[in-house]
Amino acid sequence: MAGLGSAGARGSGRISSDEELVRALYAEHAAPLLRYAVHLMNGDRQRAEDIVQETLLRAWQHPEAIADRPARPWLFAVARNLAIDSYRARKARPHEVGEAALEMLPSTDDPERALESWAVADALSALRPDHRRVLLETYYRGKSVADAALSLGVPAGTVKSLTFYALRALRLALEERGLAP
Amino acid sequence: MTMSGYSSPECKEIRQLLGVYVVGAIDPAERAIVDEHLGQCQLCRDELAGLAGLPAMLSRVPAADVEWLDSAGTELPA
Repeated sequence: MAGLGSAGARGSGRISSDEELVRALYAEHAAPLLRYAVHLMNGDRQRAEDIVQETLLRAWQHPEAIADRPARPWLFAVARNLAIDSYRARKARPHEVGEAALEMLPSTDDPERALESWAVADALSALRPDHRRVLLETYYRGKSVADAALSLGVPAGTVKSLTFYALRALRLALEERGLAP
Repeated sequence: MTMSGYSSPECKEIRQLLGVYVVGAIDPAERAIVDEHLGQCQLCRDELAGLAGLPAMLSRVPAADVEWLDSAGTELPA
């Protein structure tokens, strides 16, 4: 892999702690990252594994990026950007063999739209879990307030206010990603 | 953010219904109350306008992906 050289050039004094970092990142995040990458790559496991490798490599090269905060959001963002790069690179080579996964992408005719869908998913992933869950119940599962309240084990009034604040948080998260609804 | 301006005490209650109103989860009796209020309150109409485009954005992500995010989200480090 091309990036390995630059990471290795950082000096042997850090190798041991680097290795520990990579091992720890791998143990904690590789499995969820791979699930996410498979999703990003529409089921193409080989490319998904490449993305996981490259993502963890970047974490190794930039340990400061995850020094004082949870690593997963950063790792997922890197994986998403790599998926987008890969998608764009493949769009530029339309005759490449093995395009089945690419063709499964929604709205292949409109890559911007596909990227936008990823950005919306990313915004959803950044929401508080209770905000995301209330949208899952009310919007995606189409439940009424009363049914959502039963599923979530909260009063109906909480479903109403949570949905309102979840949508406001979503709007903010979309704006942060350059998407104004 | 337009939360600051309420034209009446009723607005606060109406605002909190606007979320379930735009995603379609609101019950019909409350929908009628919201509709009536919106007909006479510009501030609440403005608030609604800020939320109205969001269901279309949500529709860009398949429900299965959000189910996945929901299950993965519980693993997020604190």
